[in-house]
Amino acid sequence: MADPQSTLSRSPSERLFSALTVFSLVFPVVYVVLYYNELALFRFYPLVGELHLNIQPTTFGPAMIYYGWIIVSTFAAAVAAAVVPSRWTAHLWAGWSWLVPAFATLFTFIYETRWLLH
Amino acid sequence: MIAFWDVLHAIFAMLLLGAVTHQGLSVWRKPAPARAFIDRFRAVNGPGYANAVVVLYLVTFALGCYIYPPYVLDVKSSLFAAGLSGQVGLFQIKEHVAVVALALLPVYWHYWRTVPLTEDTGIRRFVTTVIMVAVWWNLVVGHILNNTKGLV
Repeated sequence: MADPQSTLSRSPSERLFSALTVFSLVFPVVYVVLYYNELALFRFYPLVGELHLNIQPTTFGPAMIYYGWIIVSTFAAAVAAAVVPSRWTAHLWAGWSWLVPAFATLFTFIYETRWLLH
Repeated sequence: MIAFWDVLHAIFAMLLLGAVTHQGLSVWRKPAPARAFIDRFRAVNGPGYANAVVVLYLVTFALGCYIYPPYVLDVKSSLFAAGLSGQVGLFQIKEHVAVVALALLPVYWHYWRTVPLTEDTGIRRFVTTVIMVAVWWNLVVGHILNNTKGLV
């Protein structure tokens, strides 16, 4: 939980900045971890138009886990943004807010070259 | 019907591309009289584009998510069947780039709408540039995939 004392002592703008920065930092990290390990909360089977928590037989067609990655990453980033005290991010270099997403993108570029070199 | 949503997705992507390119180039411009075309292109009120970019991005992303299942069923399987794994890889990168740029929107909005323009100029430049490059990448890859049949 956020430290009430530190939260009260900071302006709304600082708290907003802290929350938005944490969101933008946590989201791509969680997304890349989920994607690299192919971790899925649920799978969507577009051929039958159904969501399932478990892997289904091949008769269900291809499974999509993209939506699950987005939803879990959004939830995790929102929770982190809500609970991380703004004093923790007060001394954080603001450049991380774009560098971490940029590195996440670079990682996906490198990882997906497996398709391009196939 | 999927063609309608596909075209709508492309139209919003073009609007987004225009907005974020104006803003993305304006943030690197030093204040000076705009005489040449490129300077006039960049001499826009950057903060005025922030809300539009966020809304256009969210709409474009939502439309992309909506038309994604037919892509997986029809297009992706056809690309596999034709041995075009390179195109599949390009689209895989496109989907990740779209998500990462989505994650950047909150902090992007913050730097344009709540931080004074005289502060954190460097961060604003790079956040905006990352989003601009992401939008360009996704639009170009989308076009390549859309025209794959004619390109190969």
